[in-house]
Amino acid sequence: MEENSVHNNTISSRLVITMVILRVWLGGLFAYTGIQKIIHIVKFKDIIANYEILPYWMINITAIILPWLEFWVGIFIIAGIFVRASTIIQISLLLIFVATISFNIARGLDFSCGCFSEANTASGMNYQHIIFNMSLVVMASLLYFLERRRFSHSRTKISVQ
Amino acid sequence: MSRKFLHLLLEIILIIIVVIVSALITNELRADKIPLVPYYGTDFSYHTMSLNDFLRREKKNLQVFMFDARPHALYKKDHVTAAKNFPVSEFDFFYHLYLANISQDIPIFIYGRTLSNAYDLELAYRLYGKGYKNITVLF
Repeated sequence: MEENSVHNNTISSRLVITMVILRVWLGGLFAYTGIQKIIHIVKFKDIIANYEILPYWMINITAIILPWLEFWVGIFIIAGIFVRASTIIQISLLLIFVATISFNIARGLDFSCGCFSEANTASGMNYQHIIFNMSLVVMASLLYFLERRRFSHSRTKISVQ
Repeated sequence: MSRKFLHLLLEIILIIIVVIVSALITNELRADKIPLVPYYGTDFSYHTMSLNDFLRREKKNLQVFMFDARPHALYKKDHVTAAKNFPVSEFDFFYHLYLANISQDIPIFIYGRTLSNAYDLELAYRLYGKGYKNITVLF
């Protein structure tokens, strides 16, 4: 019985460490990229225009809202507030980024992906971005499931007491 | 609908509200604020023409200007031979370079090569404001 509880404690401490690492990495990255886009909003607007996907009337509003969405999602993930909801938004955003980058690679357009919008507008869209974003999707999904497990575990504990 | 799902949905809505409020407030406060939706006023007008039509009809006409409104890096990669680069982000510099002493009656053709026409419409609007009324945006 005691051995079992020691084993459970080790698992839960490992789980917590993994979650903290994932939260700092995923949240920090999104908060940082969000800040970069907020600072360079005019450049970011041009990058959205370069994607040639959104209609003209949607470019400005996307340039205004999207960086703040990234920023707050990152902050919420780091702070541990609304983690599951934030990871769902993060995964959705990353999948949209992957789709748009793939679409433009397929069309032969080559310019900055806008991931870090202070970068040069000339080039930078390649398969590495897709692989990197997909690895972030995997990490965010892992964080979502770990968070759900932790959430349900703590609820069970409360209901048993 | 389960309670868990509703809880998650509520959290997502709360995040979106926080995002929209902070984005709109900071955009209003910043010096380089951008309008939510581009508005060009009611008197702004321009013609449109397909690029193929332009190349067929106007390419040999030396009395027209054709501008590529995209950033220089994108222009350098690929552009129509007749087009001069006029990045809208450096409007004042290129305006003085190309048009300072040119009659306002001259036909101007603008090409932005994007589906959303972000660069070409903005350049057309700014040239219209300078008195050039014979503007055609190519698509």
